[in-house]
Amino acid sequence: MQMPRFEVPEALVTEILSKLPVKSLMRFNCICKYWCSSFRTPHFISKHYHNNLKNNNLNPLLQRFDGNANLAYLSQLSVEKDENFLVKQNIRLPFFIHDSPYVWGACHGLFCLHSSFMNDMEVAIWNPSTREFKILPQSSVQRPTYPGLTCKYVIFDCGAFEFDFKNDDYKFIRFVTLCYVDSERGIESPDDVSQVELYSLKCDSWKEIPSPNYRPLDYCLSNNCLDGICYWQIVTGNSPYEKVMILSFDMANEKFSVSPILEFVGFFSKTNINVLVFNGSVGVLVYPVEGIDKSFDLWVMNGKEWTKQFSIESIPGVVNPLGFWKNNELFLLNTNYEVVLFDPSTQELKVLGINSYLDHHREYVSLFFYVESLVSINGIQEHRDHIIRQLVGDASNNINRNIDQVDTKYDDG
Amino acid sequence: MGSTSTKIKLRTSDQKVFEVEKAVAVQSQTIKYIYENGCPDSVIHVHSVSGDILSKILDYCKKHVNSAAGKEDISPEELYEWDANFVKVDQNTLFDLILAANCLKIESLLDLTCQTVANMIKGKRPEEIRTTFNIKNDYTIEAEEAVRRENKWAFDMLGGVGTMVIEELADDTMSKCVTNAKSRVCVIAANQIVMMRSISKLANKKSIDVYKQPQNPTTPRIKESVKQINVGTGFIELFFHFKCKM
Repeated sequence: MQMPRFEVPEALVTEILSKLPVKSLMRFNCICKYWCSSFRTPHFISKHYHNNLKNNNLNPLLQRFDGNANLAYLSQLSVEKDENFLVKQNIRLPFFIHDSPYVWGACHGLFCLHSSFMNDMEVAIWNPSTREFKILPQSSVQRPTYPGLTCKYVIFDCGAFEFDFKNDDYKFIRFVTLCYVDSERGIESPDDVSQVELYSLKCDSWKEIPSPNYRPLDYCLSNNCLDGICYWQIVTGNSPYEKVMILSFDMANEKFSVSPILEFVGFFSKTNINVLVFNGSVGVLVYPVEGIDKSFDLWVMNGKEWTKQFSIESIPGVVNPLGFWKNNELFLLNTNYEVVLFDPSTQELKVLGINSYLDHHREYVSLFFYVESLVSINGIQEHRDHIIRQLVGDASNNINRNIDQVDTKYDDG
Repeated sequence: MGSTSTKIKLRTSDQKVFEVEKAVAVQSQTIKYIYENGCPDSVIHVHSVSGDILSKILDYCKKHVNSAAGKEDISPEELYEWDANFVKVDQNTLFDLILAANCLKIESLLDLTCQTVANMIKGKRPEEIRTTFNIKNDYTIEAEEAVRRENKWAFDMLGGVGTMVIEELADDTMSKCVTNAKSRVCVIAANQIVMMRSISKLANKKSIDVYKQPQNPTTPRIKESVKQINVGTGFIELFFHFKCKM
């Protein structure tokens, strides 16, 4: 079909272009220099992102670990109406192949990934829409020194990735534990030291943050940040008198604060508590560890108070939640290692036919959601160093020349 | 002030006069501003909009006002359908609607019409876009090549609809898979073994039939030998979407 010519003022061309998927825009970079540079302006990037946000164009990304092949990978799920979250594409990140990295995000369409191998401190920021990634420089934070002791291990504890809107900067914060050994005899010192490091993308550097007197836990569903603040769970007190609170860190003023205690019914050791962001608030999802008919309580923090937002009674045959979708629908993992979707308004539990390929790695299944964005991270394109999206067994993307290409059209989703 | 059935008169570029309810007319921020800051009884001139286009726009505004006010019993899905049909017009009309929605400052209509054009152009090749928007290519050949290479993946016809995970084939006959326009999977292997299955069936399939590609591409494909392939470990990506001669 021939496209006719149109005389359209520039502002309207921008209006139209800002509604295109990222893949189209990347392709249209070569149309003319002006278009290419205009896609990089903060105004266009922001307009494009807000269009996606306004239309709630969420894209699910499933993280899985193939226990047989010993490979970690991410899967893009379809959001087409009748495709039932079909897996569209599998992505292997070359710098985290054999471990299942910790993932935070998405923040403006960006993810932050951290190696989960003990002692490995590799971190990367990734934009799955533009396929740009950046491996962060090594941390330059000084480890405290003690006479007669050597710092042997630096172990990652937990972290968060969020946008500091006051300084127009993306930041990554992480808690590490330092293990020391006696320099002469190599015996481990019983006392660990905790440090907090903050990376700024704008400065491309790390710095130390004064450590709060808490050791946070990284049990969150999908994302643990909202409006420039990061959240983790902290547990104080001894069993069975544990108290759960939320530790928060404001990326802009770089300060910690603590929420009131969450009063929930049940024993801490028999309850799972996941921090999450839900409908513009921070909260926790509380559910029992045992049993396969699980009930879920969602508590939300409103200023200084905890309120129970809602409960989902008794979903049969599920093991753990993966994250909320639109309209309060909840993704979960069932006892057959399949991803299911529960709709509380109809009480319907839909099996999505996505296997999580797991034998022993149930805890390595996670779900993340992102909105497409053009945000640049001064990184490099996926294809330059590593081919990330590929067939297992065939690294080439060459089109077989025996097949006629009639009326080529790109599928930009 | 004024009753709910206040009417506003609008005169178009081709001298047609429309009398519309105020609630409908003020969907346009431009008309609203003129009405509130000018003389409320006089006729408002909408210079750059023709009668035909204004008529269509007023239909849109009326539908949306009525649905929001609850005057019409229409669900969000039905309104969405109505909007989709509203923009099923010829392209000249569509662009006239965009220009008018912009000039009259009707945000939801501007969003709707621009999204419609975006959906029309998103799968196109750069050459077609240049023609449509009458853009001169100011790259040198080398510079354009460099930009294309940098964004190579966006030119890949791989990915999107029709991709999915299927179980890996047991042996090394697999080199790549493609789907054709009819959403049937066509797998082309290094030694020309081809298999076909519809995508939805493949999702839960444990084994796949194998067909052999004849040497002469014009002879119809025949099920030369059916070989059951067993499920292996791991996975492969399935690629997409272009028409292949069956």
